[in-house]
Amino acid sequence: MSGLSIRTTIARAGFELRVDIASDARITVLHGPSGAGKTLTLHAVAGLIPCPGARIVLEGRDLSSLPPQRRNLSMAFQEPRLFPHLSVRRNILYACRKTGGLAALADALDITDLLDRRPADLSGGQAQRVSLARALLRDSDLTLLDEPFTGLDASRKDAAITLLSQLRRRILMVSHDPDDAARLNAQVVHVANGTAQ
Amino acid sequence: MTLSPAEWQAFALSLQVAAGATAVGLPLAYLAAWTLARRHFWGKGLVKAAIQLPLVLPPVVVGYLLLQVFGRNGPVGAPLAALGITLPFTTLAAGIAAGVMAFPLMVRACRLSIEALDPKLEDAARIHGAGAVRRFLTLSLPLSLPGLLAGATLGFARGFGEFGATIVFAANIPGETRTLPIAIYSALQSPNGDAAAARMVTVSVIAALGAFLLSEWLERRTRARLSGRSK
Repeated sequence: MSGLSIRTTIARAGFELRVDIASDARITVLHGPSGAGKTLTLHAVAGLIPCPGARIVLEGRDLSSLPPQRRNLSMAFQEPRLFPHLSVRRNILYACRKTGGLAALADALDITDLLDRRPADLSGGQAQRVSLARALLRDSDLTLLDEPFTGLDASRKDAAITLLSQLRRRILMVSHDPDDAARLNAQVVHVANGTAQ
Repeated sequence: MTLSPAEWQAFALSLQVAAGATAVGLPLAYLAAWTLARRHFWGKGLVKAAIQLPLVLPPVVVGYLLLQVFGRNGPVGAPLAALGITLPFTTLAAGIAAGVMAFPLMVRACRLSIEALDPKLEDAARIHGAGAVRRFLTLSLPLSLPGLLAGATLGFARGFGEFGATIVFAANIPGETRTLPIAIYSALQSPNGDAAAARMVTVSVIAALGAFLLSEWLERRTRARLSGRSK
């Protein structure tokens, strides 16, 4: 049995995507053209869209019937979705009550100086890094990352890739850049023409 | 210009009635607003219409209906009377009348702010382990605070100025149910009451303006805190 197995059909507004993914890799990258359904696949795994008959198994644990909050996942969305009334620090800790590890993670993502700011004060790239930190600090079984390097300059993207490579956690991520998968030594799943496998 | 003790009494009673109606009515209004904004159920349109009814009915009619329901022979009043509790023509009746009249305004203000909440933020909270109660306490409630404040202001103002339903359901008893609007009405009905009425009208205008400015300031502050930038 593979570490992560996703089998479902996602139907949304006339669009249908058949997903059949089995991956043992620590990092799996969904790669494909815009509109192919990569983000939909992540949302299906997260349980944020209804997928009747879906079968999502992670390390032998069937997540399919669990609500999102009980799947023990974490996620950085394509748009950062930070909570506007909370400071950056509280946004990151929202996903995880333990503060240990925050300093190192903030340092790696170069957001230490931003911790006491509000999301409204951040640029797009800064907000993206905070969202990534929120997803990575949580001790989750699977981290879902949707285009996590969007808006990052080259050096910060390099730092983020190094960080993801070093972390010992299972990641399912969306990227449109084929180099990302190679640099992360990830298994690639092609999403195109209504299928993801 | 100073108010007589009886006029101060009417002013204080109005404040007490409006504050009580808002304090009790606002949580109920938020619950009703949440249900209307988030839940789909059979008869939702009917519930919505029933909540809005006091806005479109003449207040005197609302007072009459309250009297029918809470009166000695009413469906709620009869069992209460058996327990020795009488509601009509009491200060509590004035509070209920003010609360019922203010309720649709409070519900509307709360509903608008609940509908404006971004469901994507709730999804972000859910995926990071937040259950319904935590999402409500940490996201929905604080982010809809401006609507709650607006509802409180509108509800208080409506309760403070309530006349028609109050005079029918609670009557005009000095010290007990004679609120400021009823005291103004009484003064206008009595010979040489013009000066007293003018004094109370002036106080009403000052109080209403003060409450409005205070709520504006509070709302601005809250909005700035919620969506705003670091200091």
